[in-house]
Amino acid sequence: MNGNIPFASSAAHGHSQGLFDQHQHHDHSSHGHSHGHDHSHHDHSHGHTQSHNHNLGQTNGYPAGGSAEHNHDHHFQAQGFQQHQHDHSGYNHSHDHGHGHGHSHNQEHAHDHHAHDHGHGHHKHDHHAHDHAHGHGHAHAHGHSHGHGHHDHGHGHDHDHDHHHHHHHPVSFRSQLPSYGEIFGNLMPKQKTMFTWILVHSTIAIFTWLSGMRAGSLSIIGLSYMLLFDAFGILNIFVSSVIHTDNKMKKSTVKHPFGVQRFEILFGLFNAIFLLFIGMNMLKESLEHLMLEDDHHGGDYGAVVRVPVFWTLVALGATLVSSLGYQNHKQFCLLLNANGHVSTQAAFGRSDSSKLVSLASNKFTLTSLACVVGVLLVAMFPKFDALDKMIAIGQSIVMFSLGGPLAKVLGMLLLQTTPPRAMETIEDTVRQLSAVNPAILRMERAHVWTNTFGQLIGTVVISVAKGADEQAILASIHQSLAGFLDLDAQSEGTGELTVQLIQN
Amino acid sequence: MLYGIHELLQAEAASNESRFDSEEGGRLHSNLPTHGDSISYSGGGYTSGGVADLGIYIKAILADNESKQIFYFLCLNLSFMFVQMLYGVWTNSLGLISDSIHMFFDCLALGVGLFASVMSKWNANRTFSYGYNRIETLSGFSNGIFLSLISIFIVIEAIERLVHPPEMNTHRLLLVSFLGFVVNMVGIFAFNHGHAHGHSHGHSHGHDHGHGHDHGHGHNANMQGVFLHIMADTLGSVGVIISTLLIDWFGWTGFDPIASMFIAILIFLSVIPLIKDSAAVLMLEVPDSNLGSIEHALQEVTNVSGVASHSCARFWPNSPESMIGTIHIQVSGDHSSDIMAIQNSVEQVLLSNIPGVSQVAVQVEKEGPNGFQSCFCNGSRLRNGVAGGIAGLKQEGMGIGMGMGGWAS
Repeated sequence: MNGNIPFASSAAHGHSQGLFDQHQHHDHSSHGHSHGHDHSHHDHSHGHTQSHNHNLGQTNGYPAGGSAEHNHDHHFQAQGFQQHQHDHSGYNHSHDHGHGHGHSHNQEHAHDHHAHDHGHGHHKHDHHAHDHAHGHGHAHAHGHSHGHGHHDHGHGHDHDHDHHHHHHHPVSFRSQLPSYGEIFGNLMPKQKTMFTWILVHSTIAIFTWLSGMRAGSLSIIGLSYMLLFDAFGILNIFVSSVIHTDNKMKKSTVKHPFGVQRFEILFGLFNAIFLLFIGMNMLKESLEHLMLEDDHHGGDYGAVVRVPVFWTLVALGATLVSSLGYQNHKQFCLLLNANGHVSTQAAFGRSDSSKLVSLASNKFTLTSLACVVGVLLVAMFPKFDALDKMIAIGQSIVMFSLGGPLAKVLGMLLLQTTPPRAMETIEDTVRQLSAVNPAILRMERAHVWTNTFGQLIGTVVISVAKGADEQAILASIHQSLAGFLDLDAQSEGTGELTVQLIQN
Repeated sequence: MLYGIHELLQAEAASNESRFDSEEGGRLHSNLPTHGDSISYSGGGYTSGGVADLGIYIKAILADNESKQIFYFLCLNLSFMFVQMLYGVWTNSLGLISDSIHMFFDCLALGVGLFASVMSKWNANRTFSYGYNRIETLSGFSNGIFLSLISIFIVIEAIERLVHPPEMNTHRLLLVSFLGFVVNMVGIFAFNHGHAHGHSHGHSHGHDHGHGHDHGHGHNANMQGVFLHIMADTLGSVGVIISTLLIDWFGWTGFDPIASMFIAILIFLSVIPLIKDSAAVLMLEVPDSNLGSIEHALQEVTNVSGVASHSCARFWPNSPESMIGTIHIQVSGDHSSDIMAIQNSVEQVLLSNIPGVSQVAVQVEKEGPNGFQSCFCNGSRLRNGVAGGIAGLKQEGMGIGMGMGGWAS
């Protein structure tokens, strides 16, 4: 029965469910019990909230059906065994472990997973990597139980691999991406600090917002939005840092042909849209309030604004910490300034300018600072009713002018457009090569696009004369574009080039 | 004829930047085609200049079913907005004016949708070397993010109004929201019609891939985004109508924030799939339903006689329907004479096995001392042939050691 699982059904189950979950399903249908348990497994691979779910399911399900669960396990292993026809000992082993621990299901699976490895020489190393992560999670605390739970992820993947190798039926690769639990379990201390700071920063933003609401001041609300945008900026840096720390994420799989680096751009676009949205919101609110003031003088909104100077100063501090400590929005600035330059890794790697200089040239940070100044202005002239609204309108205009170009640049990246001057560079290169080697006739078509900040992907189709030494031509093209595209076969996340030679 | 219009439109676009009053449209606009193509794509000669460009835009919009629908609805919305605005100014009603501002933002969203819908049909050029297909996905994603942000803000505002109930003036609210409801219902019916249409299209369409011109509506993120936007507005109007009636009957103003909260949550939930799907395409993530066929195709590639292994296989979605791929294959030394034949058959294998693939580039590398190989031991560029296992070991060993660096520092 298991052998007939079509790959399509695993796809229908969504993103992160593979054969493993299918097994669970089958078990589930044959044994009525341990319902909650099964479900918890199901949810595993989805994410944070679900992993909580999982824990919940466990605590609920465990006391009720402890023995039933073991049964269930048995069954599962037996089925797995039938299907794969190997690794007998491995399964038993894992099973025993489960018993011995009498612990959470997670661990059983982790072991299961491990045992499974032994069957396959091919994947041994992969598994070691998994193991590694696993150990880490253990060391940290019991609280990291999602970390274990998410091992299912990898497990499922291996199953798929098996099938691939044994050619039972075509089953899809699943991504080997670490789960959220794993990511958070394996953060470096620096990243933990950063994440904490994100939470602190957002909390400051929320309190500033609340104080603005209480004071009825739109400019303070605008400042709080800007603070939230800054917090998202740090979150973006955090995401980039996590992605670039873990090579597994940058690795190409069938599911993610170019890794998940591109998420930093997508998240950047979210930030830009957020900025535009709050700009729009501010504009609408302040126009409405201005009109309202015209209507009834001295109404609710016309009252004197009492600026919470304390929160404004806290906001100022938070902005400075983010920009000096983390160089907030640096990628955005580089991207916006790189207009006309093709930006490769080097440009995004590090900046040699001092922190104060980079702060002064950082439009985003300057906007936050300007918002603080605006609020202080409102505090200085409490008699001037409309000042608050006018500053709010000014803020919204600045937000538009920041968010607009940013969304455009990021949108162009997401549309896989050719970076400025990239096409010319490739054309020039090919022209020079064809001057040296007449067998290179012309370039038929070329695509160059940016996968993420500083990673260029190129495809070039070139027509060559009959009988040309194609390998030499390939080598020369790769060699002369290596610098431009940052081709480096030794590391992940660098440029890639595909050259197709055709004869007409 | 359609083709000609697209060409004209493309040529015109560069010179008329802010024809559409949509901010996003304006943004995307400024980097439009420069037609100094030395690499010629499918494009022919361009004639631009003296033609009345507004007419061309409208013709191009009306030529396509989707953009026609959006366009008509946009016109309806805009006229309703102006009537509302004028009446609001005339009667000095803040409610009406603020509703018309809201309407204006809706029109912006519609404008973005319209723009994306028209633009997605344009031909590839130097900057958009894979064509404009992705623009609809991007527009759907942006619309989705916008809607989700709006619903979050509505929830926050509703909570605030529950805590501090404001003075409510139900005067004339009912009429306005009823009119808004009627307008939006027109939109919903128009789009539903489009949906039905799209499905029948989609079926007849199964076989001619490679065109990428028509899309089934079910998969079109752009239309989905526009539709959700209209639906959000309609539900908003319904909510206002019901809550106004309830407030009139029971005298408790809390019905209004509760209704808007409920609707906002509904919208948020319905937007999530849109965001997820379009984000996946933008992230170049292959949908699960295609993974099997890609793997199968890769397996078939290694079965082509002469092919020893492959590396750097990249197949990514260009739009929800079409895919693009590149691959490097290694040919064993004794087959080096018929490289072109091998290249062709690999191309054919990939084109026929992976649904929706419209473009494949194959780099043929030769095994042996005088062959060139761009990918040796990098994990993702790992050769997927006989030697795969060994290379894999080597690569993972390297992978563990690395890992610092990146953006944190």
